[in-house]
Amino acid sequence: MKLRRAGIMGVGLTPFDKYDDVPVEVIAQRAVIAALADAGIALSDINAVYASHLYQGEVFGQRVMRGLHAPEVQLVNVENACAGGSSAVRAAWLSVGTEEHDLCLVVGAEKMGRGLIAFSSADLELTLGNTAPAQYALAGQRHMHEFGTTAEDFARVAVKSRHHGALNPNSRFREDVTLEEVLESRPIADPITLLQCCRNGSGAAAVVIGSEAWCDKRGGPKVWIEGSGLRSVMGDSTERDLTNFGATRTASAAAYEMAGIGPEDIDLVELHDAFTVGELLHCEGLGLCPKGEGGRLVRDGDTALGGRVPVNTSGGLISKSHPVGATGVAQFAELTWQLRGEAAGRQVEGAKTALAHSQGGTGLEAGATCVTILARG
Amino acid sequence: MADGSLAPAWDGVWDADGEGAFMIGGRCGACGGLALGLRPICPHCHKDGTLAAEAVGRRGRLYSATVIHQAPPGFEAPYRVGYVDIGEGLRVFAHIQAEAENGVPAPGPGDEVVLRIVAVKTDPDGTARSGPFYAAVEGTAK
Repeated sequence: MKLRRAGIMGVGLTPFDKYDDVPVEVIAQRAVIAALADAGIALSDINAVYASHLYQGEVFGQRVMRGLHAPEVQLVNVENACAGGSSAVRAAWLSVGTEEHDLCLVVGAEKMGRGLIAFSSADLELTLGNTAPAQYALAGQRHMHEFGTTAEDFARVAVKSRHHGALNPNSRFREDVTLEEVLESRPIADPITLLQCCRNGSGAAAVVIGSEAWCDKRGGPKVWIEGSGLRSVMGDSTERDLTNFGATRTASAAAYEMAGIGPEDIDLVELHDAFTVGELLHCEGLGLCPKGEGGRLVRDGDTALGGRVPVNTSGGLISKSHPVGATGVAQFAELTWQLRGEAAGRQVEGAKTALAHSQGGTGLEAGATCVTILARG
Repeated sequence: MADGSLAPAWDGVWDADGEGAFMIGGRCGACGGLALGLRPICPHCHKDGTLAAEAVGRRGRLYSATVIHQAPPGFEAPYRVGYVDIGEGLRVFAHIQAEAENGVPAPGPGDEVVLRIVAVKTDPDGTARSGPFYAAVEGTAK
């Protein structure tokens, strides 16, 4: 399908933290206000709103927007587990691209509890004691078995990302960690240790997506969305290659095809590093390196700032924490700042093309992966 | 019947008979396909009400396993879980032998494993619940 061009006009972030005493609607409203200001538009200009969340109850987006006296527009609440935010951005982009609307607002927000994420749907694996980190650990163990990847390889992802987080004023955890500290932190699910897990967090992010005419009106550097793929794994107690872990390969293939580029063209990536194992496997799935070589990628510094293709310059979920519905939207904030040249302290010099990847699901039986490619105009 | 007296953590997916523990497969009378667990709809041919119970998964091959140190409510860490391939394309999530037993080392990926039903969790009221547990088969470790 031929889509007209659509770009990111404005982004806003309520940096992830605890916010014990702040209602989630307010957390979300702050991100919306920041995105509108960044886009240089009024709320009354908006044609549609896409709101991403997982745990915030009925008509969450409407509850956010009524507190800002939003006009009577189309509003869709989007749930795709941890890929909800990126799915919402994708839906808004398609809405503009297909000329349904000219200007869409995306807001993703979440207020989280503590400890292991509690899934609310019945699942055989979770009932038998599987956990989110264990799902990644099982993929990592198989990767170690097949390719000789080591526990140190996975741990190096945390060292790299926490260093990025130390450079990002929006990051929640801003101290560097050493390889020894990562490996010696409390074991969670072998080979994953505590410092290789994202923390739960609360927060919000918002993005304004507009037609080319709207983007021209804003002026300044342009950030276009060039392609996006959204795919789901719907395994059913069947044999699958766990070292692929999720639908990253199929979602990214669709995004690359739509954008007319390949992984070699990507300058930087924000990807779903809920656990370090995921980052290495997703790097392979995105084609940043051949299958089985994710360990080498991080050992050689390819994914660090200054490397061939920096991954998670924001610090990733490992440094920022993970408010589920906000996570995918926040990736677009970071990539927009990078492509505009506004990522102070962590700027990827000359960045032209960027990729956002997020993944979510319960157990390993059903999950969504969204990959979206952005380019500087 | 090893711990067959325990209430299962999930109904209709495992059981035991005179030959030992097995996973309950659903064999479709229409297309011949196999699914894990008895269920109303065949995932292969989408016929409704065609599945009949069949014992599967008495043995399998370990695909991957991890030791969980941070346990959800009802479980006591550490414990080992993993995926076992049981044939016909089916893969089962189960608890896995974590330590050597009677000189048989814990299984690794690719090793043959045999099913038992054991207590895996405890309800808030103290009721123990059973689940599948695969252990190494002596002499088959690679």
